[in-house]
Amino acid sequence: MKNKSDLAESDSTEEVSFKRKRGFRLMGLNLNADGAVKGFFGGNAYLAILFLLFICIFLFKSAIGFIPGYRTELAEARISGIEAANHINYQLVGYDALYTKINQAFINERRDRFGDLETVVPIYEELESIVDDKLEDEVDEYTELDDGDKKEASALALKESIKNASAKLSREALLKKIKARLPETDTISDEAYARALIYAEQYALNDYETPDEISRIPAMINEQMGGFYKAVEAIKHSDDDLRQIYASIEKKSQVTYRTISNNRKNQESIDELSKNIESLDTDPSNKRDSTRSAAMTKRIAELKPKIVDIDTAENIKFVYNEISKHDAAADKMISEFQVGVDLLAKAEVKTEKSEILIKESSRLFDELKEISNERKSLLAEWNHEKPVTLWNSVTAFFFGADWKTGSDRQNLYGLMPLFTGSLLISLVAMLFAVPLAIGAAIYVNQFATKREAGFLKPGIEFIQAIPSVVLGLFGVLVVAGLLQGLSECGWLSWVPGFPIQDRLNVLLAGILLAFMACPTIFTLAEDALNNVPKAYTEASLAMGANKLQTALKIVVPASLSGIVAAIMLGFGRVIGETMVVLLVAGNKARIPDLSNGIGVIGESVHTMTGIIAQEYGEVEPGVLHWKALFMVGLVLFLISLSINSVCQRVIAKRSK
Amino acid sequence: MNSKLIQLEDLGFSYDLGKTETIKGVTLDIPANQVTAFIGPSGCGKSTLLRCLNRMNDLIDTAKITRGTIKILGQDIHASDVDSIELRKHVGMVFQKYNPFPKSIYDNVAYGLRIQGEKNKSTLDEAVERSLRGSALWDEVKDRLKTSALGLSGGQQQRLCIARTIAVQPKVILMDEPCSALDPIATAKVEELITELRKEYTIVIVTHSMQQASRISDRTAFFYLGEVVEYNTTETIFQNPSQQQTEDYISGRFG
Amino acid sequence: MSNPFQTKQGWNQRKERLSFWSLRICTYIIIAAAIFIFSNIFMKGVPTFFKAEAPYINTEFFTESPQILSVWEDQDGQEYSMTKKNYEQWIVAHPEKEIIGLKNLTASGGGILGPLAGTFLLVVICMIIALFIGVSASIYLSEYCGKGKIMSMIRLSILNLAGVPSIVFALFGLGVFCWLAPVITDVPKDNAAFVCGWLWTDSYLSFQGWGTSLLAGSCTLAIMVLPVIITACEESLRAVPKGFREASYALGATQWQTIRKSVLPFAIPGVLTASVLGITRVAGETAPIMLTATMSEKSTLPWEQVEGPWSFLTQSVQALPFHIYTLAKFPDSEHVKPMQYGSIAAFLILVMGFALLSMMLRNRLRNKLKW
Repeated sequence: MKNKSDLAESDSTEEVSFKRKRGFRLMGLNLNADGAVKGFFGGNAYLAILFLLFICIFLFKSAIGFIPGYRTELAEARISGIEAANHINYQLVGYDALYTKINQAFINERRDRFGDLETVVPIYEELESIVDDKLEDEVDEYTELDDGDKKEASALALKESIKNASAKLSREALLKKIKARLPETDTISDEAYARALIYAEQYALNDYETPDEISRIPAMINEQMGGFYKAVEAIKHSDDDLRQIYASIEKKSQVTYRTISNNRKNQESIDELSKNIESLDTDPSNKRDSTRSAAMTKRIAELKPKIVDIDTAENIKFVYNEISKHDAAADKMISEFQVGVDLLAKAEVKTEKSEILIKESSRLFDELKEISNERKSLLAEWNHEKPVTLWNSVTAFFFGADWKTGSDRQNLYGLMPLFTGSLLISLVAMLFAVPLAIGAAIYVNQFATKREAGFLKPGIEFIQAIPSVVLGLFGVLVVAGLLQGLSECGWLSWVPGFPIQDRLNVLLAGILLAFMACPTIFTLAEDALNNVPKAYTEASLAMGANKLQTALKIVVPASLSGIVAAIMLGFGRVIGETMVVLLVAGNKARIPDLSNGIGVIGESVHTMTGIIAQEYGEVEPGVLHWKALFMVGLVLFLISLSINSVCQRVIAKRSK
Repeated sequence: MNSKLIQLEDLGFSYDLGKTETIKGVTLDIPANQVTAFIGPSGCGKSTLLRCLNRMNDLIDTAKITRGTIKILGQDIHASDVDSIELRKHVGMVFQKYNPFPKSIYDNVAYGLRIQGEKNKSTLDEAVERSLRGSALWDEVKDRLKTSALGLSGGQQQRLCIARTIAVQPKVILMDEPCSALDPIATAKVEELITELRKEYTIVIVTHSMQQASRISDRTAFFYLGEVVEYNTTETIFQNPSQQQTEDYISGRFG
Repeated sequence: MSNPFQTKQGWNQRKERLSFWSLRICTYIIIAAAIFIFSNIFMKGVPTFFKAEAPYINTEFFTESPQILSVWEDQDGQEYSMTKKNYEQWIVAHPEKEIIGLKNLTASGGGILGPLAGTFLLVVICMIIALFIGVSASIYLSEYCGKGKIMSMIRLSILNLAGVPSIVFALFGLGVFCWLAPVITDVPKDNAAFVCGWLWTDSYLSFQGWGTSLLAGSCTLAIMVLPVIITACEESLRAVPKGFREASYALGATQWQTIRKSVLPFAIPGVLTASVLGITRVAGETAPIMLTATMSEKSTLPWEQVEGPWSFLTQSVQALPFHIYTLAKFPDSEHVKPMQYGSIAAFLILVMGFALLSMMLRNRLRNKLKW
């Protein structure tokens, strides 16, 4: 009995073994199928992770070279004197803005007083060009005729055909063409039209000579404008001296700058090529390498003569010489301008719009004076040998007010216009999206019946799938027109920024992006509301609170962090959106003029995403412009990454 | 030998790499072909100990055996050449919440054999029938073997899980509160089944119900704070406990 | 005696009604905007798909690639618009007509076959790459590696990368795939980042990039969508109850057996939903392919004039979203309108179809798989 049971037990131990089964042996590793599978998946996972890590590294690596590179360019600009020219240019830009305002006021006033008379000129010019087209052949015939009845008859026929030709041009078409010249003319009065017609006939009959009456009209109008006209005339030429100094410095310094920077670039290429040649096999029997080496040597030989000598000292002397004249010219500009401004103050102004413009221009004039003084002292201190520090190039990028590329002049890479543009559009978008999306989330989560929520939720989520390029094109084709039409409605004129000048503007981009952000914010906010334990709601309802009180006092506060995260993620999505802003933001790289207050929403801006999409095609890898785009990309990357990581942390915390 | 199918020797276990011990030096011998019940208040480590027996705790990264050994059939199951997968083929487990796969009844039972490479249809059919009969489910489901297991009632699902476990003919079946999610009638059936299974298998069961332990088990271990307070035949534990703590727990004065 | 429970018409009630309606209006403004956009696009776009005479379907629109559209007037003020090819024939046929104000509009005539094919190829190649890497990476992340601090950090960074703007991925793709990826060539370019001999052959392994190409575009899209796919797949793998895994392990299954037999089958619908979601995102994306893969004018279809797979992969293609972007340059021309609306309607139908599919899949999943 005992034996038997022992036997059975030894059997069972024999039979049962927990020992690991042998797999293949490969290179000393005990590889079994499970390990291989794990290795395969793990390999892919690490590949993915490495790739995503590589993105960060690559972005950093490509972008970071920008700082020293930009420093070199800035230093070159300083040595060649461009910086001095820029100092003067700032004043000229200020002057231009101011002059435009005053001129606008003038034109506006003139139109108000002599609008009808004024339109005669463009109508006449339009008709004149028609006559030119129409009679090109017939006039030849006509002049060949002898005097007499025949000629008179022919003249009558000619007159008739002019009338026909002008009649053929519909009034709408005429208006459209005239509008291009006089942007604020809406109607052509019959009187003006008739008058222009008469002159046009005269013109045709008098061998293409513009009738005196026509050429006299502008002068006549100006005379009648009196003090206003004199003011504008005084201002008009006050900048001449300064502009001349600017032009001569600019011309000289541009030549220097281009030569220096081309020399540097060629030298860099030569260095690069020689380094490559060194790395090749020098053994002539290695045919592959020797042909390559020969080709590169040839390239170097081509590049070498392109490096030219330049006498920077001579050029800079010229620049300093011009700078010495600057102060006098700047003072002259200001003093002459002052004369104009004084005249303006006395001039009679009838329209409200002109009055506003003049008021604005007096503020701008103060600014101009300030700019001029500031630049004067900067120019006095200016020294072409002062070193440019790395920190200078960092600030020039992050706080630079200009992004100018693609011209012959020095490229400027200032992030500010792009950053403010992106920020402004995103803020406008959030202004629309947040109340709508959060309101919708509260409604769907707290108030809607199950059936209603059943189609509202997927309906809103569905919007997410609309490709941004479709929305962008739709914005250009449909919404832009609607918005502009709406902004011109009289009863909406109280809205700041209305009527909108630019067809493509911040408001349009904001509205479209708000539509894109809605589903993101809605979905996440609805999730957050949904995560509030049912017990809270029930407890509140059981105390006799109504649905609204429960929603606002219990559910929303309990899910507040989630809602904030939803808003921030929506913001992140909006600021990173490319196609919509590229198509509808107008793409003018300038800092939005915040002095207009909320009216700034009617302006065209450029964005960080838009600039990358617009300019990637113009650049070769490795050049400074390329690195600048990567810098912008890096800034975008860091912004979105920081927004995301904060939000994900909030969401993760909540879901615990 | 017969009384020592599973031998635990001063076993310590930790969920956080040894910072705190959940099981503190347990020494137990579990005999073959008997039902051994682990009882004790929540969090006393009885389920953890159960999961140590087929190394289910390996699935948790930070889990660690801090000291001692577990021997099943005389073999140290943590020896370096022991494969946890081979071990689990011999030490099956039934979980607290019945968890059939969302497959057909047949596929559920045949799962264990299939992953061991069994492809022969008649062998599988035979094993499925045997296991279902063994778990007293055959008569109830023989007409709908191909329907989803999720269509069964809770008690049936749990018995299906038992059938799935015995299909691979393990030496030991670990049961982690198998009846806690079932109603009294289903519980009675499962208990009946356990009594039947004792003839062929060694069963270790964790339970919260003292009546259940007294009804079905041959031996009972009372755990408290990660230690075995008392381990003896069920009769002794329930009628004549040697420790005050055990008596308090059984008479319902705490826990 | 008055009933204490009767409804009171107080300030609170009015306030509730007011906010109820204002919230409701918020919701329906969004829905109304969506309906406005869809109906507008479809109403103006769908007529492009059809024509008045038999066979009623505008086959030209679906079987030809975009071509230059010539627009002009004759001396009688009659307006004409036709593709440049037809225009040249027309001049020959009508020598007596004068041509006034001839304008050539890029990509505004013909059809959308080329862009459609390009988009299809981009999406397919991208999804092959992204699903292969993404699904296996998510299996590894959810099944094989634990919940350590490093792993949860990696997970969080993947999640964060999912929100990075596509233009950043585009820039990366442009830098890496178009200008830096390795090719084997006999004549390496000067601007190659690194050149070395390729094995024992006479060729070089040159890191000069694949140029503007199908492969570069697909890879960029794949990288972009990878975080989305990994996150979504991992989520659906995690949604498989732990009990299935435990039961399988308890029966002595190996890890791979457990994954293959009792995790993957139940996660497949989720993975499928994730991939359709990925397709929706990839197909609608413009910026990445604009930088890395497309050109607006191309006379051949992707499978024409190709020598071997490598030249197939490194050709540049047209793509529907970029085609639409090109068309946006003529906002005012009446003659481009059919092409513009036709293209966006077709594109919208395509993308919306995928979106609808993913939503339906998700709903079915929710209803069907409950455990």
